[in-house]
Formats: sequence, C-alpha cells, structure tokens
Amino acid sequence: MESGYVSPAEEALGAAIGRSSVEQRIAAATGLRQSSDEPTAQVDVVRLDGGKVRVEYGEVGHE
Amino acid sequence: MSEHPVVSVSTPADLASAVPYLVGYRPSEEQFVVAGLAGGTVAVMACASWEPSFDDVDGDWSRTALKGGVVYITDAMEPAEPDSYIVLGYGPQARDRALLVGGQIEELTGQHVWQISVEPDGVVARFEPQDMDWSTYPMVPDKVEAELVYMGIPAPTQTRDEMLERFTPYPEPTWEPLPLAEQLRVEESLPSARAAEAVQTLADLKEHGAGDDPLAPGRLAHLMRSSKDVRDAVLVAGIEQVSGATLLELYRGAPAEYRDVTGNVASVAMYIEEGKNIGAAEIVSHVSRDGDQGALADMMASAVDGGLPPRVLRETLTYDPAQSLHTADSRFLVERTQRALSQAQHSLARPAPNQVAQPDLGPKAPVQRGPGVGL
Repeated sequence: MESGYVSPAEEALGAAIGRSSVEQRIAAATGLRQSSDEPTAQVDVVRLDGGKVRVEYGEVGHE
Repeated sequence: MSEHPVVSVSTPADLASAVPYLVGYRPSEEQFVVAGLAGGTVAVMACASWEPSFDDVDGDWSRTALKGGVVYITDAMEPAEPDSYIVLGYGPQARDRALLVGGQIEELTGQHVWQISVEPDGVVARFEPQDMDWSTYPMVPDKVEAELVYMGIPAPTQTRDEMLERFTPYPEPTWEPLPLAEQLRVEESLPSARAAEAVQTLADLKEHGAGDDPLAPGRLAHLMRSSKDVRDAVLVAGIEQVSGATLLELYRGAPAEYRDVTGNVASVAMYIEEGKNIGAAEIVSHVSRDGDQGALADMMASAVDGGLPPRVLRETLTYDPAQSLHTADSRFLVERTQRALSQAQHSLARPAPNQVAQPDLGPKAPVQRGPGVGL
C-alpha cells in the first residue's frame, strides 16, 4: 500500500537509533566500556527513566 | 521526571519487595537482579539468568563466562548512566552470587556496588564490606507493594513465562474487522480526517472500552492500517495520552490481518510506559517484517536491543503530526486524481460496446435497407 514510503515517525526513530549507536561506538572506541559479542544470559532490562514511576533509593542500610 | 509519582525505598528489604513490581515478575532462584542508580534514583534494572557457565573457574581463578555476562548487563544499562549499582541474589546461593556479580561490576565500572541477598526463608541481608559480614533486614509486608499498586503498577506474575503471556496475542480475536462498506468509506477519506477519527476513537476506547461501540476496535485498526501517517498520529496521541493498556488490548485481540499495525503501536507505547525490553520485544516478535509495518518493527527491535532509553523514544515521537498529515492529504489527492485519469484513459482506449464482437446468434435475416440509404 505504501511500500517504500518512510513515515515521519520512522524517520525520527531511525535517527534516534543512529545517534544512540554512534554514542555506543564512541564509548567503546575510547575504552570506556568493553564490548561483548553475544549475551551469555537471558537478560530482561527495565528502564525506569521516564517511566510510570520514579523510585528513589536512600542510603542502603543507613536508615 | 518530576511529573512521575515517586516511591521512596530506604532499606534492602523494601527494595527486594519492589523489585518484582518493577521487573514485572518474581525473579526465580536461578536469576539475579542488578539495579543501576543515577542521582539517588533507580534508573535501570536488569534481571538475568544465572547460567551454569558462570560457575566455571579458570586456572587463574577468574570467571570468564560470568565476566562476559556482567559486561553485557552493564553495557545494556549504560544509556541510563548509573553512578552506582545494587546486586540482588536469590535462593540458597544468593549471597555467593551477589558477591561474585558485584565484584565483577565494581571491577568493570569502578562504581560502588551494594550486594543484597533475598533468601528462601524470606530473610533479606546486605553485605557490609567493613565488617565482612551480612546484616539482615526484616521484610515489612505490603508497605512498598501498596504504594506501587496505588500508582497503577500491575501486580507481578509468579514467573517470567506468565509475564510474557501479557504480551502475546489472544488465542482467538476479540474484535471483528470493520464491515467492508465502512472500510471503503475510511479509504476514501483524507488522511487528516482519518487521523482525527482514529485519535478520537482511541480516546473513546481508553475512556469507555468497546462496550458502547463494538465497531470501535476494528475502526481504529483499519484507520491505522490505511496509512502510515494515520498510524503515526495515533502513536503520538497514544504516547501523550498514556494509552498503552488500550493499545495492548487492541493488539492482543486483533484478527491476524491487523496484528502488524496494532502490534507496532502497542510495542512503542508499552516500551515508553513500562520501560521493559521483555514486553516490547515479545510484541514485536509477532509483527511480520515483510509488509508495510516491517520497517517500524525492525526499528523497535533495534531500539529495544540497543537500549534506547524510553525517555529518548518519547521525545523522538512527541511532535505535531499536522504538517505530515497535510502533506499526506496532498499526496492522497494527487494519487486519486492520477488514478481517475488513468481509469478514464483506460476506458477511452477500450473498444466501444457496439464494436465488441457479437456472439453468433445463428442465421440472420436479410438486412432491410430503407430507401435512399447507400453503403
């Protein structure tokens, strides 16, 4: 129906992924992080920055 | 982030209570959790399986497999820029595993790491490096859970598999496609008008469900499927109106032909609202890569795998779609005009009906010509 048409959301998302990848490549190249090939474990990641709730953590055990 | 409700967690036991709500399921005794803190806030959390190879010890007492796993986890958490970490071990080996993972993270990142064990008898303990011992903390039932439930966080499932089911299509569709006449009406209207109708339908579904208007889910899905610009307008509105739950239900109950478009939109909304890679990845795995929706599905898979922060995704998809819809209207009118012209040319090029070969009707009577008619 719209083959070949890149919508504004697709264009914006593609650009954001590209920027993110560039940042990761720079970080790896400057030795800030080691890179790994494939995940060796099943990892579920939850990103709470900007999510439904903000969890503040006080000093652990120093309550 | 200040617009979001805040839960304050001040003890290891409270954190242990909160983890299942944040992850979405109760970690098993064969898993461990790493929380990344940034500025006193839990910014990111990873729940990982403890692989048998993590117990392998090399000749020099290093643990290559475990280190590889920890590198992967800290890389995935990196976009949130944690300034310290908390590791939670579970089950009979909770303490050993928390210490092993915590040690690797400290070595890799140079950041401070707290180690917590959640033990089978319900005891929660924290490792105190200065004492080289564990201090225990009492669990206070329901304290943090009550707060999180009050804030609309769904209760955790007992297992990871149960949680995955929340993001898979229902065995049978729960709504019907739009009747054909309605489909044609939709496809003959301007994209901007379709977008307005779709956004209103989404708002109505979120507010009232489909009870008052059984055709609403089919209408919304067909409107989105009719144009990427309409789909994008729903995406923008769904993010703004926090309509993830409505879009998730639409996708789960969709007939097969509407699963791709509804799945795409649901995956984006759920990732932004819940921040979980597990849900978005599961939804996207049910979206075909062959059709019109393949591009967005591929991008979402990359965004989730690459750890694109939901905050960045939200910012990326917060825009006024009016301009793109205006362009879509113009494109639609041009295409329709071209189609009409093409059809007109086609019909002119065809032989007139009276020139079409006539069927053999048998012997014909002699033609009677009137007087004065010449050939």
